[in-house]
Amino acid sequence: MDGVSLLLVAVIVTALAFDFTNGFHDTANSMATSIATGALAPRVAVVIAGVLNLAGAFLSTTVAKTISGGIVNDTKVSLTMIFAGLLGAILWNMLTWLAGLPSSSSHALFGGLIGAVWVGAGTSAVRFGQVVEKIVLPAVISPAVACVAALLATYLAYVITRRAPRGSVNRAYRTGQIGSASLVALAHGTNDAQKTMGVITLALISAGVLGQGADPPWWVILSAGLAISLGTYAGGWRIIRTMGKGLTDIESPQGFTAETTATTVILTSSHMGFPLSTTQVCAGGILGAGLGRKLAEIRWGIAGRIAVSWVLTLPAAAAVGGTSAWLAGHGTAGLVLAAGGALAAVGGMYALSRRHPVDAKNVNEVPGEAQQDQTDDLMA
Amino acid sequence: MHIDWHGLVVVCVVSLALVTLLVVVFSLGIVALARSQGPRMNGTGRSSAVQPLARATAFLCFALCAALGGYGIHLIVSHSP
Repeated sequence: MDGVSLLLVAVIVTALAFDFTNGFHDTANSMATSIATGALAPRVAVVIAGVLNLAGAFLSTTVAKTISGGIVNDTKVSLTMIFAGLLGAILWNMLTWLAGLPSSSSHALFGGLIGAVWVGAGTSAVRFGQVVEKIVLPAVISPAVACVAALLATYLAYVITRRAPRGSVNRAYRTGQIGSASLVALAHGTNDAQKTMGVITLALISAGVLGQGADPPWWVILSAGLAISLGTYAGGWRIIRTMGKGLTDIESPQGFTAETTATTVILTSSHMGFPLSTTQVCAGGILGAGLGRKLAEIRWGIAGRIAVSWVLTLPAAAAVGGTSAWLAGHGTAGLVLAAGGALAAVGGMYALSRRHPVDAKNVNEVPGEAQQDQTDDLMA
Repeated sequence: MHIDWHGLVVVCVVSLALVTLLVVVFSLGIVALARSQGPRMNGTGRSSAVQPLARATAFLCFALCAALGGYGIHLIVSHSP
């Protein structure tokens, strides 16, 4: 196998690995509130989300024509830069997952690419105006809109149903929530699996395996769909706990309004051609749902940490992507070193996560209380 | 750098309006459903006349929400970047 095809295989494998992290990072978007309100059992929720992500991957009829959507100059992007950018995105996704923070996978991918292209092709290849227009501005506006919409909707939901019997009201909202959460999962599969398909297809084109403007081969669609779906099924339980229990205590009406808000904002803006981060919209929706219920407690410390992780996503992924691109620019040895370093870091973070595992069984425990429970178990 | 402020405002307003509409209609549906099931909501003989009306209202509300959800699926399927 010569150097180019080895690199191509590395890019495809890394792209699928990113797709997998994208899946488990974003399970929380569709399912965290459904799990928190008890609308769905944790295991059932991740199966539904996984299946809908797979279905979404096959529903998409058009695959992205550019890797970055114009954020970097695509003609200057090499296979090495794509590889380095993907490494940056994967490492940031792993680190934020370890900390249980819902950061945007798309922003991590853009950040990684920006860093890699900046180092590999120079500053002129990065279009900073586009970065502001397509990343920074939506990142500020979309969670704010979702927050305000969910706040108003939650307030109205509680006011309208205040005289009706609580039990049947909660049952009805939980049923409705399953519907809107499923739409979020489906939309996620269409959007995010498509990104990986686009990356792999463009890598194949630039390596000369496919002709210019070719559609993705069936195995690319299948593997990208499977990777995101399996990732979703694996369930990023740490992030699900933060979104469902950490930020605020979600009741059934709030779960319904938060997911309905997320679905509506995502579909409206993507229909009108505005890019946004699913994760940020969902977090904004949950925050708004928390604020809309009287006396609901918002844990502002956690909200603040989430906000910090959003600000850091782009530069942090860019730093790793840039470093990887610099290493990989030094021939095969550098490439292997970058891949090995990334693999070791991912392995290390996974090992760290095992010290305080979060899974389907303890996902609904509020962080902090979980440790208390463990102590109680020991005392009993 | 070109920022489509007008488009952004439209997205914000449409999102806000749709969310409010959906949640209000769904909540009214829930209230109507509860009224159609609760036999002695007002404690008078009127309940027998109220019940079919409440059931029809609930059905209409949920149907409207389902239709909007269906339109959402349509948008997802036909979505092209």
